[in-house]
Amino acid sequence: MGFPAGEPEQGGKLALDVLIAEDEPSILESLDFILRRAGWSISAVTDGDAVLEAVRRLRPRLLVLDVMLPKRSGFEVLKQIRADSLTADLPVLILTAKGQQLDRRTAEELGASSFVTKPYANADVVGAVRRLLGEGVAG
Amino acid sequence: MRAPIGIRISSRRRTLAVSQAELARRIGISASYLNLIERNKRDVGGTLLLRIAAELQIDIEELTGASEHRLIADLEEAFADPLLQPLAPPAGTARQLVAEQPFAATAIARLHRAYQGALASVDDYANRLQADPLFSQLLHQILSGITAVRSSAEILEEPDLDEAARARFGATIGREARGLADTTRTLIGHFDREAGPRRAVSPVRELDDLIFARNNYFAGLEAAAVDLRAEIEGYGPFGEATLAAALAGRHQVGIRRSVSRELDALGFPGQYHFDPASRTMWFQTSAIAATRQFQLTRLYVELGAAAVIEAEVTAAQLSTEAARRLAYRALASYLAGAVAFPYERFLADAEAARYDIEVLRQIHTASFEQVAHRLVTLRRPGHEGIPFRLPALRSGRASHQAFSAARPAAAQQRPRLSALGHLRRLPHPRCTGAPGGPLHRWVALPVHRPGGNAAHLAFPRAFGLYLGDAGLRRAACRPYRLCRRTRPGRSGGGRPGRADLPAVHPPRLRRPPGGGAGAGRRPGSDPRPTGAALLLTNGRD
Repeated sequence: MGFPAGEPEQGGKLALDVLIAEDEPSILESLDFILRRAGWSISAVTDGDAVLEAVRRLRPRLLVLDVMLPKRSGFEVLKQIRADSLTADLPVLILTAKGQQLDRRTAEELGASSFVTKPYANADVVGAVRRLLGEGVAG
Repeated sequence: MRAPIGIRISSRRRTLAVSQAELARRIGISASYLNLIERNKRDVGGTLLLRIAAELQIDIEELTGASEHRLIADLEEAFADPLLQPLAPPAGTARQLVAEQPFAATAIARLHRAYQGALASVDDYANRLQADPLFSQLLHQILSGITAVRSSAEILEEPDLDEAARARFGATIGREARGLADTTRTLIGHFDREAGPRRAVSPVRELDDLIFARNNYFAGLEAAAVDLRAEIEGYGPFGEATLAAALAGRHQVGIRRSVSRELDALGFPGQYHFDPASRTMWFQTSAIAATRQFQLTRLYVELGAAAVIEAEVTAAQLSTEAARRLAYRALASYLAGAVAFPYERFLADAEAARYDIEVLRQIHTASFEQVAHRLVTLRRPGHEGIPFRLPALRSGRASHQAFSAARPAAAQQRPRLSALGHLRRLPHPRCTGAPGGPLHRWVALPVHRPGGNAAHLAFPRAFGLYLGDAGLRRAACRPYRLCRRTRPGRSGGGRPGRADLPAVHPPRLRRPPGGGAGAGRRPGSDPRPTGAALLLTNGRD
């Protein structure tokens, strides 16, 4: 399924604010929309393997990471990001499912920066991204 | 607080109105010696203690205070329950209660046991729901759909939305709503089927029944195991290094080890997992040699002989996909066990080592559970080992349950323990087997957790004793004793000498002299020992 946000930015000249890793097209579409609308530059990937490559190439300021990704789970991705000195400090916002305490515990152990629980309110996501990017409410 | 054994003997003797001289005569010692024992001036144990207990018609555990000890341990465990922590029971409460209010102590211990059992069942059901792949997939779909609908609807509520966005997110809501309707229908259908008569049998139960029907022995898998073993041994003597070479050579699989925890196949932090995409088997460095060897074997058979396992599963005609998946996993483990521990050799080693699991572990680089599991599969017609039943104890709680169930007092809760390991309740629990039928007796021995508080009994180890002959009932009711482990019967050249480790063996089983209890005896019955001790720990690997 083609999706405009999935197009990588050329040459990495513009610093990327947020990389979204989410495989559900409708969720990705709305995430892309609300985060762009809040003023950030966005890029997206839809499977676990692509995340690591995109993080290294695009150097985003923040990663929004769904736990249930195809090919390589969000946990696995998070672990590898934390293991790589280039990306170890990248803030990672985990999208987890309501009621999955075990997921949340695992993600915490693996070094997640923050969580948003599905089904979320858009304002929750925007607020969490804003906090992790160190921008004030006005930002 | 605990009365010394001599006082117990003398008090019991007086209760029965037997004189010291008379009891001494019956048990074959001098009256003065019995007098010394009763005054705690002489130790008493072994067969003498057995004779005294028999003459005094009292359970030896009562005489030695072991049952009281266990009750204290049970109470301490109950008081250590997080539920009771706010009450901060003072140290020594358990001991005092057992001494002063034995009935209340027993009641508390039983209630706590029942509570633990209920908790375990709840966990079991919750896990079953979570572990059902179809169920969790449907839930995931519903959650994703709702997330998309909610987020899109919020976008539509925004005031200055352009028409293109409005149309796009309107369409998303419509599409996701239709998807949700379909998913919900599937989910409801799933539950309808679950409730139907065809689905009345749980997948676990169905797998149990299959294993029972096959008497724990799968000839097709055993035959395949011989070929697979030969295939692996083409790369060198069987072991971890050879398995690695065989996996690399035949299946292009590499092995990776790291210190940190990673996620296993189910997405939980574990000790190993295979990533089919990169064809890499990962082990945490702390995974023991037995785990590595077994998991490599398992991977080898799953990659090389999936069709054989599939064929067995298909032949079993299981009614649900979940049961087929369970059966596939169980039979893959079976096949791995048959490859790692070849039937003939393993049986010969088991006989030589008198089914001493520790010895078998060392010979075969195996974990306790792997050995125990292989022992229950030694059922080749005409070439059987001693019959075992093996409960798989996956947690301390389950272990405790089996421990509790070991005692006649807990006969109501005595689980039926099936071969590949699922605790199940007996429909008609009996302390001992039905007349003429097979007899199971479960006993348990509390052990201290290494490095733990010596006063606190951690996970008890249970010993399962299977007796094929109801005539042995009386023998089975005798207590176990700690024995010195003997060297394997045959010359174990190169094998570790292990005479220095204590082992537990069942009491020598003697047929009762005459009497109706001998009814189960068959002429020409096998002279081999008919019972063996099987240690059950809470280890998981």
